[in-house]
Amino acid sequence: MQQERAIDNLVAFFETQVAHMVEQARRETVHAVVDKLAMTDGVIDRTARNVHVLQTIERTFQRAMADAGYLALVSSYVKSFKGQFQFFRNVLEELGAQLGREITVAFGARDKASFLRQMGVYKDMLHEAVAIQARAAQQQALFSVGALRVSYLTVMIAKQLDMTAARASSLADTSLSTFYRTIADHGYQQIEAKLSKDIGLLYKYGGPSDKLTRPKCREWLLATRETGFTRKQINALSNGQLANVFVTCGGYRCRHQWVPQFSLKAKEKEGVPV
Amino acid sequence: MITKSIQRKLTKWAKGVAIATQLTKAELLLAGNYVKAQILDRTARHLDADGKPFAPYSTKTPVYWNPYTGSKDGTQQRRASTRMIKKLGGSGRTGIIRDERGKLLGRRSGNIIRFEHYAAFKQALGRSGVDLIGPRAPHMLQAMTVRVAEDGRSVIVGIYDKPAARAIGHQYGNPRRRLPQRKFLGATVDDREHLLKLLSAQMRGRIRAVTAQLRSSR
Repeated sequence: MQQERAIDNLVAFFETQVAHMVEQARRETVHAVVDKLAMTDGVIDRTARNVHVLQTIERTFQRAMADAGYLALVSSYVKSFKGQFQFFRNVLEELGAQLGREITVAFGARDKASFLRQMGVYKDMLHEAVAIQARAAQQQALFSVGALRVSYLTVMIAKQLDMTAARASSLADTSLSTFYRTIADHGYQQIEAKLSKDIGLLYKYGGPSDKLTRPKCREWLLATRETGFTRKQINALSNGQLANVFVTCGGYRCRHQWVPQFSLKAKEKEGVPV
Repeated sequence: MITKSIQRKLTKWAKGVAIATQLTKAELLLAGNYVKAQILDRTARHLDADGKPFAPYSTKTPVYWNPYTGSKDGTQQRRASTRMIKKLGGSGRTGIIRDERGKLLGRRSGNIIRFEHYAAFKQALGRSGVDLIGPRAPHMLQAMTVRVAEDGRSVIVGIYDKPAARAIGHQYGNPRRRLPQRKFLGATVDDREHLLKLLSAQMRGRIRAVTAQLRSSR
């Protein structure tokens, strides 16, 4: 029952799994490294062999994560974005059955290629999250040779590696939000390309304004309250974290999105007769 | 002879007009995205699809929140909770969050935060009403998508996959879980009227082009 509840939320499920994997991999890495270290009175000796042992942290942690099933988890998580389309198809099939005719939906080849490319990027980013944290732990450990007690080193490595789960879950949240925004953006691009003659299209920054809102997001919320931004204006913005503000908005774990505002251009407002 | 030529031209024009009055894929996308934008705007103003205020958030049972999304390390969880308590205007030392009038909204409970109820949780975040957006991304309203069916005649605004379960709960309510109905998906009469104006402007443009073609072929 508990598991079912966890599966209810895609990201929550990912986070639970990653946290569990990191814990397991961290234990394995710390054991594998500390057992091989030579020390005197609990302090790590400044020897070439110890340095070599500490240099294996990154590799050991990455291998332990892979053994725990991280790569498979990332693949299935990113693939589950497609579930959105599958679910959509199922709904249409049901509707079609009720109406007595078949309704199908298909994205164009370019859309599909773009979505797949994006999925590949997310996958790489999630793999990289593990590598970055493992590298950071390794670097900190290398600085501590000859100066740190093993007990402190163990805690330090564990802390660094623990952050992998937080980093990976942050990326998972971000990639899913970005994926939703990318789907929306494909629609907006089609509208912009084909209907911009008579219809003005501006974008308002939508989403919560609360104590967790970043200053940049607050600024954009205020700036677009009355009149929205054009795509060109949005493309010129920077969130200081991720590229392409149109789909990444305020950066990691941003809760906002660009909401289109459609208006008739002056000529149409006057009601020019046919 | 002249009559026949005029008749032919008029038939061609009528055919052109018939085609011009059919909605294109881009127009269907416009319709869907317009409705989506209106839903988001209304929800942000705490109003449902009929323009009525949403049912308020629950004030009955306490809510526990763990702001740390990493591993189950207690120290990290506690630190993240303290950071969050400070962010929400509470005291990092006592772990208590109060509103401007001094009413208790939440407090640190172990390594996580306990709020008096869901309404207090949202108030602590700084939200003034019911906006159907949780504290984290990706949230339900970000998952709202617009698609054109392959038949090219209809557009669907919807929420799919896992966030759909939450959306269904809000849209229809769930008496078993004491979740009131908050019908946020839908279009009002005003939405439809404005949409009609936008789409008819597009059609007018196309009809004008067909008519201009007829005139130029005199």
